[in-house]
Amino acid sequence: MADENLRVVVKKLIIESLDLEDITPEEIIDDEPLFIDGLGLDSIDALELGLAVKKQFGVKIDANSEDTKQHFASVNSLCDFISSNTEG
Amino acid sequence: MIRSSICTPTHFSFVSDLGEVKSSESFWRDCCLYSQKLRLVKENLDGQSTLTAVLFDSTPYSFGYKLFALLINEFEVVLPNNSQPCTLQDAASHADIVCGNALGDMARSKVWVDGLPDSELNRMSDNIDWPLCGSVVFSTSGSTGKSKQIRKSWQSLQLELDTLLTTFDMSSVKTFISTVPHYHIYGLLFRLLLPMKLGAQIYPTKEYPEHIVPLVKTAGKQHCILISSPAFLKRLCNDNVLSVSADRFCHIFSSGGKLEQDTATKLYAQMRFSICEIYGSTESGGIAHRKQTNGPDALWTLFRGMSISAKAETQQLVLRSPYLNFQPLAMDDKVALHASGQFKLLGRIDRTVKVEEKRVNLSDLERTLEAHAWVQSCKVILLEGKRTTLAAVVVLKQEKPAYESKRRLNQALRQHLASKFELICIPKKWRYVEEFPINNQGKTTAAALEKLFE
Repeated sequence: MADENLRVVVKKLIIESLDLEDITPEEIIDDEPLFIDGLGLDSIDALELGLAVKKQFGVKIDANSEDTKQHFASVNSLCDFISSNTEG
Repeated sequence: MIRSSICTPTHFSFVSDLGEVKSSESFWRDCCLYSQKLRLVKENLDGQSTLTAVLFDSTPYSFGYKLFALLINEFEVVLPNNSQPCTLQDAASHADIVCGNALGDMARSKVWVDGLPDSELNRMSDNIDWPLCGSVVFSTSGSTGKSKQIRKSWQSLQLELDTLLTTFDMSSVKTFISTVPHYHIYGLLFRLLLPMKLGAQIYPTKEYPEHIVPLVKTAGKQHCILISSPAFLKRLCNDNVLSVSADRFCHIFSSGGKLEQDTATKLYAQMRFSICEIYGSTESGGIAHRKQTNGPDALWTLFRGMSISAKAETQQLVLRSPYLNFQPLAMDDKVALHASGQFKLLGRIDRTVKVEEKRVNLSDLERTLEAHAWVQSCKVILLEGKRTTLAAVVVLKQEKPAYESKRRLNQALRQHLASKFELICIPKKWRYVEEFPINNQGKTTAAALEKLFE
């Protein structure tokens, strides 16, 4: 399970890299879907966020698109993905 | 040059902000002196083919004689549409010389004609006449996008002026009052050149109805013409301080945007007087006119020499105007033609843009948003940036909806749109305003809307 610090960093990254307005890191819910329903991000946001995550954490987005979808589903899953790819 | 009484109107006069009256003699004298300065400047700039001058002057009188002097000396005259430092700087950077009281700051980098000494001038020399040729470059207000430069031949403006003089009976008029500035095409024609031709007295721009009251009170019956805009008239009808003096007006003109039916009806009820609306754009010039009373949406009547058609599929209005050598010009409006030759306007053509390769109809987005119970009106614009996205400016209905935060409100409206539009085509940024920003022509420009997102 990813730690709280990482979650805050990821939430800030989401807001900054996607230029989101009217929302603070605290308002992003850990397990809420990032795309479509929850935060309402679209497919271009997904690309932007992918780039930002790669740049900040040096993790590789894997070739399997279903896995990537899973990894980017929520803040929690994104944090898990980042920590499992940076620690090991 | 020989001064001919046919060409050179002599009875007009200008009233300054302080109430000082400048006669036509004074106008032509100042024009002559300015023309001499320009001739000296021109000698020093020799070798260039067409010389360009930027002109911005806040008073109609000085603007007028400087414009005439520039045209007589064969300068192409660029008229910025506001006096914001950026606008003037930008215009000046493309010009050979700068003219007018607003451009003194540019004197370090450009020849500022107003700042040149008068000493070498010969006060009694040549006669000056109404210019006959040349060209003037206007900037559009940019209500549908970026401001565009529109070059007009002086002859085409004269043609339009002649049409106005024969279309409207203005023989009783002595006083011209205006709520719009003189440096847009509507203002230049209606509030500066027209009264000069008619030999009327021209007052400085008045913004408030209250400032117009004393001018009309002292005037005789049908002595006044008011050159105004929908923005002014909309406010006037909320407290019509001019209704008691309605009989002093010969015409009240409105142009620059759509005069709402509701406003026209109210004004008619208050004043028993019909506003004369002019339909046109900077690019097209005046196309048609109409008067609204208390009846249904009145039909538009074309000015002399115009012909229009409607594109079969889109109903888009296509104009052939003598001012444009009858070259077809597609307007941004939809039209329904009537057998009488008159027509009805059916609203703007749809605006379509591309967002991340997806085509989206902004008009459709706006209509859908306006169908939401909380939304009074809205404008959707394209915001260029690191990523091009859509942004919405919304005026909410007065009975404010219950929402806990701006974010929740955004979400509710986004969800409403999501029933019809793809996620990428839904505005990402939202602004809620009491009223859309308007400029001094009463228009909401794309630039002003973009500013809300800076």
